[in-house]
Amino acid sequence: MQYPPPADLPPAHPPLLQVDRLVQPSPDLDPPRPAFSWTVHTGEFWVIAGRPGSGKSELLAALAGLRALQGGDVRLDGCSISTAASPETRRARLRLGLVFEGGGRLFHSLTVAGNIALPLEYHALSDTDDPRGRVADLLEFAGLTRQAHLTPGRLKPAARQRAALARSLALQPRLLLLDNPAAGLPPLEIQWWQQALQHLHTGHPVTGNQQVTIILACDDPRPWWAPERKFVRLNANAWEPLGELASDDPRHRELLQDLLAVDPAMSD
Amino acid sequence: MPGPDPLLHSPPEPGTAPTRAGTSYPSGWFRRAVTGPGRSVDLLGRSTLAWLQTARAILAFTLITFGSAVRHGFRASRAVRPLIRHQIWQAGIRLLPLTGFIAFSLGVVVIGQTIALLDRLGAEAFVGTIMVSAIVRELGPLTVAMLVLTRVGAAHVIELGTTRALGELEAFESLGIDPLHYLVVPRIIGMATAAFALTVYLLLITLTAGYLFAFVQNVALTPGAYVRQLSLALGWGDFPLLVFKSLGFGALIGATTCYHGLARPLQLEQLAQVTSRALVHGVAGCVLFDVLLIGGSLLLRWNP
Repeated sequence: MQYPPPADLPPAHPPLLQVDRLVQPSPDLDPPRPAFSWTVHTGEFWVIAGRPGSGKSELLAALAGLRALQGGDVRLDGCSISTAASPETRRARLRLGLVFEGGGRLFHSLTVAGNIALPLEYHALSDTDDPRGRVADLLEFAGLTRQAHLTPGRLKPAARQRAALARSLALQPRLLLLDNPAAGLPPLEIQWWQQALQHLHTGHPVTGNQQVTIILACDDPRPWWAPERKFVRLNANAWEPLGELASDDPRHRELLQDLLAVDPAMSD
Repeated sequence: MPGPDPLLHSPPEPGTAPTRAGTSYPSGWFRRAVTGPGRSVDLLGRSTLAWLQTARAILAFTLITFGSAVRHGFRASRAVRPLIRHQIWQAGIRLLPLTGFIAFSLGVVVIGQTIALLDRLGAEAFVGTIMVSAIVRELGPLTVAMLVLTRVGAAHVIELGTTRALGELEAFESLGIDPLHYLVVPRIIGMATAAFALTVYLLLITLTAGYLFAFVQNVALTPGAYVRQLSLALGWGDFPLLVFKSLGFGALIGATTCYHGLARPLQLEQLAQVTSRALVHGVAGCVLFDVLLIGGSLLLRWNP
């Protein structure tokens, strides 16, 4: 059953990310998914739900400007980030943080503190900029102060994922892309992520008390249900924006049945 | 009943040598090489083309890295400078004891025995010429290159290959960090600097150890005469050539090992194979570079 897209209400905030007729490159999608357009406004929290293999990771990589597109354009704050790396593109990309799936691809030769400090040191405007205070704040936010000196190989998977979040926040991004952050984590850890993302979304000192716009991809949307969050269903052949979903919305039930073969009434 | 699998039991190709009953063809490249005269030439041609393509790819990788270094300039020095220092420490200072040992052995084995032999023949006047030709111009820089390649280059391939295989390159890009600028440029600069410094140390230790060994053998050559012969044999052109050669060896090893670790998609299980290939290409690259320099210097000195 197809539902009409949500009505276009006048946005409270200006557009932050604009996707224009994007044809997503993905080795798993043959033929490629039809082109789609999408606008994310500042302060929104989007959840992209799709089965494994539906191209969520590739989509986030494309949104982050890490993939050459087969067609279309991705603009952040009006600046195209899908084109070749010009100084403007590089600057625009710094306003965006990406947390990879399954351990966050931390740099294996650096410690947790080193991973978080690296973007700060690399983009430091002068040699006198000392990132230690900011690194300490991010470690505290992620609850990793005691593990700061460990290399990723000695961390538990949950701690690796947290460290990846802390690293992605180092440059105070305005837009945060998260690829299945709760996959394989125990319930208590998922709870931490729910709270942490809610804090970041409403404004937290580690992001200068600014709201962070969030796009989260997952294959189980249940941990991310909350009012005012917007949902998209991603299939191999369709991009289906669902908008905000109330728990009694029939689309809610259909989404869970489609992704997990779970009836929400049973799962509650 | 199905017949034999044609893929496993293919009939001999026309023009190949007949097989005796009960014997089978060897498999793979060896079979192709030995079962016909044209096959060997074919194999040689393919192999040469593959080497040329790799050389072209490494050259392109080096030029792109150079472009990245120029584009970024002194940007991100807070992150990159410590890496250059670390590379110099890893490829240079940490290799000093091993270099000293090799240099001492080289001095004793090559120079000491050569001086003793020339003394017996009454040809002490040629000591300086032989030392400069054999050790200063050729053996010294090449020995250091092999040391740096095997001790540090192999580690680079493994480290960068792991980075590539674990998908960390995308993490660098997502943080706005140019992987060539952060990972490759410091390694090439560090290895070039370290190779040059180690070459100087190796030459000093080798020449000193060689004379000491000859002195122990009661060779009638005073230290002053030895140094005088060396200085007479050394031309002004030897100094820039030595600097260029040792820096070139270091940069070439850095570029080759970084290329093999980073430039192509890689799985963790392929690391051993890639490391071995990188070492072979590193040795071949250094020898070819040396041959080109010798050819160039001979051309410059040629006076028909």
